[in-house]
Amino acid sequence: MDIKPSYGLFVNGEWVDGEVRNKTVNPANEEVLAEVAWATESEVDSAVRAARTAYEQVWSKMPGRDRAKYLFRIARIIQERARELAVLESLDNGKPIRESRDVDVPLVAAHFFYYAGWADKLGYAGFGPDPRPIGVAGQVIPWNFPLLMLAWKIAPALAAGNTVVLKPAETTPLTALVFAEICQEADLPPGVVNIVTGAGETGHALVSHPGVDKVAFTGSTEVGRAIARAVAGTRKKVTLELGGKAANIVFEDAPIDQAVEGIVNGIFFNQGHVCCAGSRLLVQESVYDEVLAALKRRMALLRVGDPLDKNTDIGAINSAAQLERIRTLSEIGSEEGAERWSPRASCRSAVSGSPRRSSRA
Amino acid sequence: MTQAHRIAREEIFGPVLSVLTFRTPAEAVDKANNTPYGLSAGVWTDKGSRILWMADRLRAGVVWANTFNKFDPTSPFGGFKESGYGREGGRHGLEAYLDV
Repeated sequence: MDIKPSYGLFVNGEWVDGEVRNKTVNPANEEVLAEVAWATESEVDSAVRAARTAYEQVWSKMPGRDRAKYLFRIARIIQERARELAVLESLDNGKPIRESRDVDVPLVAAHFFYYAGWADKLGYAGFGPDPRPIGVAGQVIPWNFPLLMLAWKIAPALAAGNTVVLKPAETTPLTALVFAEICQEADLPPGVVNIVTGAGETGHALVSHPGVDKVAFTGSTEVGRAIARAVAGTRKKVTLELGGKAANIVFEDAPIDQAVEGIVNGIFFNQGHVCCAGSRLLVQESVYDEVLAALKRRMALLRVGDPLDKNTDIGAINSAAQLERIRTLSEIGSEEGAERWSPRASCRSAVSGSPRRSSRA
Repeated sequence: MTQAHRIAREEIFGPVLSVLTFRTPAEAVDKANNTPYGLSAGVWTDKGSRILWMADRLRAGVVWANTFNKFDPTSPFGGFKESGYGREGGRHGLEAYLDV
């Protein structure tokens, strides 16, 4: 797999250098992976204009069966390049290769296959005989499932006949940029998919752009509120997928061993960087001691380590800022009198040059 | 810990689990719903009837029964309350991109 030293913005089917540049790092060892552009307001504007032209002249006029052809093609290329995408996702995000390889990337392909199937059947979806697309979608996605969230956003938008401008998170831009290459490889008409990398300012420029007809956001409730304010009073349609604090409820008649696996999967999958993570365990009092003992035994077996090691269960926290937030909130928990327990640390190093770095998934 | 603790209320977005207890199904529902969020929930029990009883009362977009974090392109996903607006995935996810 080749990571380029530097990536531009993907606008109208072509790469353009960005004015402002920044670095993306591997959170497991803090090595710089590549330099990426942080799109300015005027760069976002050209991406939205490209999406508008592609929408009006090409994509919205194309029969659904032809849009399906492109989506199926993209899905197949994702499968062909699955290993490369999984490694890149683990490098940029810090998630264990076992998860990016067995969960993220297969689900990404599944989403494109699924929505490809809808593209020529929209008249049978229950929204009238000939439902029309909305126009240009401005999409902002988080860092926890970079490529999967891209698939959730782009696949249905394209199937329905919209064009998109997507902004990946600033800490995890790389798989979205490789996805842009996949769009080229699939001969997707220019401007149907545009990728603008950047941070909050880029996202704000995108969602508040008057040429955007539909805003889709996945991320924190705090940013979601700001986006709701930005689109309030406009004609834009909006969907928001925000935070969570899910209860995972274990009754006394539950199969305890199976429940413990579910509790661990609920909160330690993807280092707990999951909006729907089961972060509040509710245990029926009668089985509390039994469940807690089994959970502690299971947690002691979790392997924390190099994301690229296929035996790793828990990889790297995505950024120093996120690690700090987790530590601060945990400290506050202790100060407020909560009893704290963690298994004895067994983190294997992921420093550059260690033999594990070359391990294959 | 109790529901009053900040770490039992705020989203940490990391590998930190808050552990609480309950006595009755009704108390489990009250505690589960006592949050500004409503994205997902999990129920672990042998009784099918209890799964349906809980799923009716939990104010969460997804309720997993005897599993967790299971995703499928055909299934709609999204939140109640401060967890969001609208649904992605499945036929519902198409609607968000159509002028209907």
